[in-house]
Amino acid sequence: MFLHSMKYTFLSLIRDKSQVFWCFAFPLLLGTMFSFAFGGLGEDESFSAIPVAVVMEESADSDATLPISDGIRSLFDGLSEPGENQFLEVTYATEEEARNLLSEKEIYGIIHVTVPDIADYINAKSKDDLPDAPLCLTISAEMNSDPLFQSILGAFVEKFNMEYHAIADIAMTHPEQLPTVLAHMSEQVDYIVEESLGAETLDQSLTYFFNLIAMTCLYAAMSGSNIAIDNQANLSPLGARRSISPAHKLVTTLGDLTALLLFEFITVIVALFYFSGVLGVDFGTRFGYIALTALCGCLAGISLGFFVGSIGRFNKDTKFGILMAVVMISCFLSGLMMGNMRMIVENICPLVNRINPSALISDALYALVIYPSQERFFINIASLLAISAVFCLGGIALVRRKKYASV
Amino acid sequence: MQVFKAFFKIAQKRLSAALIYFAIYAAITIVLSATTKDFYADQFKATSLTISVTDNDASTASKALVHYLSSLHNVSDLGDDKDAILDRMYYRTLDYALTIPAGFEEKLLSGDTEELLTSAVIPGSNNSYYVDQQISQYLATLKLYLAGGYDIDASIAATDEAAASVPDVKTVSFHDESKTMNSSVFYYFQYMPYVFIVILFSGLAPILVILNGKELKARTVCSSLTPRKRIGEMSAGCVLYSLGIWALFMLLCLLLYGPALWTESALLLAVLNSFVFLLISTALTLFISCFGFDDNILNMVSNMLGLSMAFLCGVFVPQSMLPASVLSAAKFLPAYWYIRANNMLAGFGKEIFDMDFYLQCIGIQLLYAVAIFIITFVIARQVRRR
Repeated sequence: MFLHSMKYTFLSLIRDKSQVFWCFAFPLLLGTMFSFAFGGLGEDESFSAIPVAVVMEESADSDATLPISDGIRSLFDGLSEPGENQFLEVTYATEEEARNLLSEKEIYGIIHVTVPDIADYINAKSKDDLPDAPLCLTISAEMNSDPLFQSILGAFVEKFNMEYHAIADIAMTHPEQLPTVLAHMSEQVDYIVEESLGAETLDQSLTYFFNLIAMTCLYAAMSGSNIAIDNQANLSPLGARRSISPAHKLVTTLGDLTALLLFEFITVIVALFYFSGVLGVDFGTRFGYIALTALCGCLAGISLGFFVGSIGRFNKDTKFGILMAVVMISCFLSGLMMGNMRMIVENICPLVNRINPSALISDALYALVIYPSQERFFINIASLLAISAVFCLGGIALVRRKKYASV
Repeated sequence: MQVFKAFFKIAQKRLSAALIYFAIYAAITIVLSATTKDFYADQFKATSLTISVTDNDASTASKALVHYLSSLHNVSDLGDDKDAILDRMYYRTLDYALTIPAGFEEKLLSGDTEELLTSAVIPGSNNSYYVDQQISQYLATLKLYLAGGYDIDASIAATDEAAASVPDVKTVSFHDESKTMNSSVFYYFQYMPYVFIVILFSGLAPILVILNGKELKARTVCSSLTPRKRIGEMSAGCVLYSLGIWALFMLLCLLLYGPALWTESALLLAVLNSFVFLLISTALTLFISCFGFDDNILNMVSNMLGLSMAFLCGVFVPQSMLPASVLSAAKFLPAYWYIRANNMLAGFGKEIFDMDFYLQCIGIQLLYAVAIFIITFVIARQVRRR
């Protein structure tokens, strides 16, 4: 009976042509759109030279300041030398030109250089007599496309001013050490060494694909609820016919669910092949585990639908609405619309991530693809299976031994 | 008015489902606008990042460095928990992880400063460049003082003073009008294209599908009612339904952001913008209902269309972060123009408000709405002839 029920449910599933088409087309079309939209998502994180205008303000006694101003100029020229390490893209300009460039958003900031007059230092008696810092940065309030560039410029100006401050201090207090200090200043030191985190990739756009797979799995809930409704005599004519047949209800229901699981699993596997084969999404190499995740995901979706379909006597539309609510909120909380939502939830209420099926599916994929961790993967899979078991048993408990005096 | 009445009878039957849809998408909109607000605000400040610092040296110098970084960034200590660091970095809630190894101060004093610290970063990210630069500047200055004959405590004090004496960055504004608006209201409007499409597709389209269903339609068509009148009454039902949804969302906006805002011209323009997009969504719903899909398929189509348009046009991911090729393709989608207008009103991205361009955005959206209506009528005619 199990096989009989499974066979005919499967046949009825694949004979509904438009349903089949959309079940397959849904992840494929949405995945294609995702790959268009996220093709360049990580690009703005990589570094490129920052366009900036430099305004030199030389004091009246230009002979005395000339060597210093040349020094500063050569510093800027060095930083804007084309090549891999180009930091700035410098335009020397007058105050007015620079402001125009800034208002047209051609540059990220204006660096005003006030070339210090050495005489001021020689005559200075205390720190208060010293001239202001030599570099000063002006940015535009309207420029907010790459605010970090402005901050990086700020840090650059700060570094220069701090070192300058230190030299001035030392020149006043320990003039004899000045040559040693200047020697130190010219040496390039890499203070920080980067260590790898052992991740395969940190491409954030993968999150959206993980969540898309999770959503595809959970959409199986709609068909799951149809199976529950088709088994209830008071909700559908098919249910009424089935109720009077002598077949064991548990066996036929399990047959239905298995057929649906097979069908949904195939749609997800096709989508996975399309993502990795055609769209070039990097899912790593552990295809077996990924397929296992898809299977458990579909199971969770179907059992969720079966459970909701079995509750009470609401009509199909309401049950459908409830399921949509659960599926959409579940996907939303795991990051379908905003990639880092899962992390926000993790910080606010981690329990949600432990029981949210969409978060479990996408986290299982994360544990396979981003950060190889068997333990985390199997915890997610176990949680998915546990949730599925709860929903399935709950659904069966709700529909078992139902008798109808009149339908 | 029979068809009009039938429309709302069906709508009433499906009221519980419609309310559920409204509740989910209203909740999603509220949460998204609240979280995106923080996201944008962080981006604009940008100077303050979230970093983890693990101090294994616990010396005067290492503490001074941690103190300096805390004054600039949001510093926490995740220790050596690589899983936690990686997780947070992947989801971009942690920008930088620094480890100060034991023996840091000793090395600093001896002048052996090459590769003093270890960091973990998102590969190629600007954030890491920024923090690296700040750490280097602090250590470089500290080293200068040490070389200048200061002892460690004096060097730290002098370096901190040097850091404090740095002049503030000046900010100039090229626009006279000072923005006093609570611009977070525009985050709310930003999600309307997605929300209208999914809500109308899942709520309104099934009603139309039932009305266009074979038997109900056949019964109506063989009555004395002219086809034109039937379509007219159905359209009136659609318009009223869509207006109801729109009004609910505007009411929610009023409740969330307060009535004071509603006197601002920019907000009224945003309301107009959302209304025009509502027309597009209604037209699309009429269009899709011609095909007679069932609820499940309508839901898939709604999310497929809604999510694709949202991601391509900059509803979820800001337009300024999308690649140029995507944006030029997105120009063929109405939501792109909606978002352009909204960005301009809110001042997101590089957009500066320009009334002519705003009207252009509205005009393009209206043209889309008209075009979709016309296509729908042509298709409906074809279906009727068959």
